[in-house]
Amino acid sequence: MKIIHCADLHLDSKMESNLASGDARLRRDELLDTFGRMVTYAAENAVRAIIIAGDLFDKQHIRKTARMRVLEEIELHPLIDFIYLKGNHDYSDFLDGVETMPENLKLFSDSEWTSYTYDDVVITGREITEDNVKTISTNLILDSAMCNIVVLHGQESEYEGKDKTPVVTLPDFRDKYIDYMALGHIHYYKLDKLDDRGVWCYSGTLEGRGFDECGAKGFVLLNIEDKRVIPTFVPFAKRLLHEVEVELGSEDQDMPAIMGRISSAVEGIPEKDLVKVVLTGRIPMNTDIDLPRIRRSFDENFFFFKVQDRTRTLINYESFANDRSLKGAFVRLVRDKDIPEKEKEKIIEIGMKALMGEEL
Amino acid sequence: MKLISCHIAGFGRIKDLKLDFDCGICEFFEENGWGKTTLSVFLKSMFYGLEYSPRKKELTERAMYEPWDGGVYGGNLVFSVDEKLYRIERTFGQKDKDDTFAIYDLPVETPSSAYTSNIGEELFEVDRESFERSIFIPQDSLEVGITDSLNAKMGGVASVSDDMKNYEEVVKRIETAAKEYTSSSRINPGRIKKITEDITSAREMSESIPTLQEAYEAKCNLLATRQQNLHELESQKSEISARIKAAGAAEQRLGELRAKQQSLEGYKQTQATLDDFFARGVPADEDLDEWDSRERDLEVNRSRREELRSKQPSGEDLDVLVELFEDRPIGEEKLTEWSQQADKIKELRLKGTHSQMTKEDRDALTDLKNFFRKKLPDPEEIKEQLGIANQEIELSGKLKTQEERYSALRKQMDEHHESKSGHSSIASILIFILLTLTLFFGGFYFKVLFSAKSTLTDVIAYTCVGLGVMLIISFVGTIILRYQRDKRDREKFEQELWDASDELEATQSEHDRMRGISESFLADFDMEYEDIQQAIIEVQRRADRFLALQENERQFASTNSDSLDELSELQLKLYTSLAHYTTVLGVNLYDTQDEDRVIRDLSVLNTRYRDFQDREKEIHRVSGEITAESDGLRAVVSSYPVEEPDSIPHALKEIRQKVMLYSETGKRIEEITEELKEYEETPDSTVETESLASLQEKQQALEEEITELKGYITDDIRDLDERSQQLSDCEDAAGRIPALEEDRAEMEEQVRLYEETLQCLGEAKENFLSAYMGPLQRSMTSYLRRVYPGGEADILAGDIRLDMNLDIQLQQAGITRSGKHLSAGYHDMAAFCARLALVDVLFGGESPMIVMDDPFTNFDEDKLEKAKELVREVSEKHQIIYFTCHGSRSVKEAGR
Repeated sequence: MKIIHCADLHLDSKMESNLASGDARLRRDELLDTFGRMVTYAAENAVRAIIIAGDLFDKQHIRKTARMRVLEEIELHPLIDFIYLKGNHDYSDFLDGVETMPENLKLFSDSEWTSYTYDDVVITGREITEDNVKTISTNLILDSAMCNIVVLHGQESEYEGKDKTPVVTLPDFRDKYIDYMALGHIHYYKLDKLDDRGVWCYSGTLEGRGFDECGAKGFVLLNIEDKRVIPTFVPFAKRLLHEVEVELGSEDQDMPAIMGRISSAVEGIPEKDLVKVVLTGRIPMNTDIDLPRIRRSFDENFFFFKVQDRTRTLINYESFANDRSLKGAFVRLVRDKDIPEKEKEKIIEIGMKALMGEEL
Repeated sequence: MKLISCHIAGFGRIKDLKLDFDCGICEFFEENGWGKTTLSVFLKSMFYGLEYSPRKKELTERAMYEPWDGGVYGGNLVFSVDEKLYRIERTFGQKDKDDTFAIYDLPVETPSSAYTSNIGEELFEVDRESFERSIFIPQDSLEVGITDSLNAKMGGVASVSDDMKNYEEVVKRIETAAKEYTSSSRINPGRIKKITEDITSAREMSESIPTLQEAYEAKCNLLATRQQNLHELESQKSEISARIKAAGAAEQRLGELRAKQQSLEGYKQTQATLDDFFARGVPADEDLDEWDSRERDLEVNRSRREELRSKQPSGEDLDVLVELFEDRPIGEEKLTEWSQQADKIKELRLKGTHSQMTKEDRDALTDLKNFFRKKLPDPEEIKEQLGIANQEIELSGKLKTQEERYSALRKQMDEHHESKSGHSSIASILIFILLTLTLFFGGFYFKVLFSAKSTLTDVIAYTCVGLGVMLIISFVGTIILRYQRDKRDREKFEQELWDASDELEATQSEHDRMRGISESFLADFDMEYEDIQQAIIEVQRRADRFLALQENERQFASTNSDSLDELSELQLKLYTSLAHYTTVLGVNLYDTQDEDRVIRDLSVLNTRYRDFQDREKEIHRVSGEITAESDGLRAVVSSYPVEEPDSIPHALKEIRQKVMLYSETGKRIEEITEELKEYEETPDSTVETESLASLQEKQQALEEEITELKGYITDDIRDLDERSQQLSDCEDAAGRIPALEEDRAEMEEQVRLYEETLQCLGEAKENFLSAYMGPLQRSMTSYLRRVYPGGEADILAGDIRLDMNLDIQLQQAGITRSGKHLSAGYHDMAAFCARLALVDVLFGGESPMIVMDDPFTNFDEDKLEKAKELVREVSEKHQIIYFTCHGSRSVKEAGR
């Protein structure tokens, strides 16, 4: 039997803030498309059920088109069960206003554990709330003879949370005959051992929405044979996000050198992806980084390109030690001030540029 | 610090030059172009090295002073610091990595660790630029050039001047950059203002989310309510529609009743009308069928009659038939008999035709008669002629062979003659003559002319003569033999040629004779020919053909005579029988002899006439039937008041229609009566209190209400979509706030940095000024007071000031004026004092030498002396390297 485990789809939610509104809308629609593609994949690969471990949406208000798209996918694939657990960002019920619940849509609640059985596989889940977070595991009773999949949404931890944050306290779920714990909340794939019998796994999100969600994104395909669960991560995102750090040095004294370093760093990244380049390192004072030029050069190479200047200025105080000019006096004055080094570099950079008649 | 000496191994144009500086004032009395600047750069390079800037496009000092001859580039410098002697040795290469530096303690000549290759900065505590630009006081620059020389040479001061000059611009630049962020202008707001507005806008949008959400939900509820209302209205509408339908049904029923009653009345009236029509009784269907059948038969007969009539011949054709057969019909037997007779006639004619020659043969016979009109040769004669022709051909061949032989002989003979003549004969004669003469001359010589005569010479002479004679004899003999041989050959050739000619002639004669005989034979026939043999063969062929045709003609003539009699007799009989018919047909059998055709035509015409007669009978019979039937049917029709009594078909049709109508009307009357009876017996179960019109009005009102409500619902849905989009936009805006705030914080930080920078620059400026200007002013005033110790009426040392540009200013009675108000002399002196003051200020530590390049060229005598005195005073503190090209400007006192 095959089952898909996905989570944190955050359909119809906001995208990377620097995307143009048209591109942001496109990415939002691509999220929905990826969901559709995943369902198509499930249909083509005889997947019996799709587990959505929370955060299907994350807005109080969901666009009608988004809701209808999800419902359509569910209704068009009656042979696949959609097992949906609400997450901490599922503020509203996307099923509000739906007159007839699709029969292949299975839900969980927060008041009790709910189970769905498929041959010798049992999928059990419950929504973690502030009220049940500490006691949720106590009445989880599973049949050791079955293959048990438990669905939860929260941050895994070896320790109990001090407040009422939704935390999946792993020790509480050990030795409960769990073969696979399908988790949601973390936006990247993570798999680890739970106990001698089972594993816990975050599928990560289907598509990255910001540069804090770089790397491969997709879902986990569970192949269940003889009650053994074999999870496989399936990269499925249409576009990936890449945050690339480019460290500049004193040898990168002009724009061609800097552009060359950036080109080398982004080489091999597909043009359909989103790229953020962060320039770091220490560069000579007279080196000007023309960010607009960098943006213009690389903008068309990718779906989205962003560059940040986090470089620091390399100042050789010694060279100004004997400079009998206002510049020397200025540099020495700033050097001797009791302010952070970074601030000194910036002040000196501004002052020197101004003194040398350069554009600020 | 004091310079002691230097050795310039190679530096610019200077090569291998040793100079001593062991003096307070080192005066060099040299002409212009000697190398003063080169020396000053050398001195600097010893302390500071030469700058290496591969990226500089302009010519560097390293490149400028490199010896062109490729020799050693560098030198050494001996100096003293704190009573210690040192020697610096430097060489320079293409790059700074190729430079060498060494410093030695003197006089022990050991490497010193007191200083490094950066000795200049270590010693003077200023960088290269400041050093270079300060120690060199040029010529002719004191007046307008003080500032120029400061700009060119005195780096520290130049940059001070530039820095100070630019300070306001620097401040303005930073303030402008800051203003880009902080501007609160409405037209061109700063970035902070813009982003604050964006944040405010985003916040407003974010804050409006709950309200929008409430409104959205309220709208959803309203929409739900409206949809519910719509549902109810549609239910009501359905109910009213049902009632309307029921009421409509009732009214329809009533209407139907009325319609039925009216219909019954109508039918009854129709029935009454039909009763009048059928006053004599309604005919039965069988009668109607019979009448129709009779009418059909009538039509058939009429059609048949028309058809027969159309087939009858008319006009001329009929006249011909009548004329032919009216009085003389022809039976089949007759026709058969006539056919047989015609066949017989044909047979006899054919027989006669076959017994004749063909036309081709007759024409051929005629041509051959013409051909042989002069003579008809018999076969033997032709055979003989053929033999003659063959002989002639043989003779032609032989003739050709003989002609060829004759030509060959002729050619041979001509060739033979040619070979005997020519240059070879002439050559042999010449050789003979030459040899002969040589021999005779030799003999003569040895015999007569040779001085030393002896027996031998005689022998030789005689031998020569003898040889000469023998040669003559042999030559003559050869000629005679050759002549005889030639003659024999010639006679032989001529004989052969004669023989050949005779043979040829004989053959030709015989050939011509043979030809003559053949031509004579062929002259009797009218034909053209090229080949006699072929012509004779043709004659032979024609003769054979002629004889054969003649034989044929004789045979045909003998068989034709009997058949002709029988043919004539039969022809007469038949033609007589057919005379009438052929006359009518206009055919003359004797001419056409086409009896078969005439008989065939007669047979056809006869048949046609018979058909004509048969059809006439039939027409007559059918016409009778038609008349009888028409009368009968007319009688039937007349008993009914039809509309078209003259048209039987229309009348019958009308009768039938009316019979059907009568029947149907009766049935309908019964049906309707029955229906009316049922209706009266069945009561109406629906009781509608309202009228149909009222219900329809209500329905109309409901529809309008529903339409309006649907419109509202559509608007609501559109509104909901817009609100939904608005909510999405607000949520997006809310999402952007943190990033915007972060950006704003960065901008504010940037502004703070600008302000900090301005503050630091201000402080640096103050420090800078206080570091340099105060001491500078004091030092300058000190020097001026030395020059003008007691003050003068027109100038007081303390009145002269320096501004930030180190320009001289005059301050009197609280008013600051430009230094240009001073006389040139005072101005230059003040500028010179300012220079010295600058050196004092710049070089607080170890003071370097000062290089003066004839700086007092423009001073008058009085000032010159004062300046010299001042230089001598300064030389106690600074080592002076002084260049001049005029003795009057020498600064050294007499004896020094």
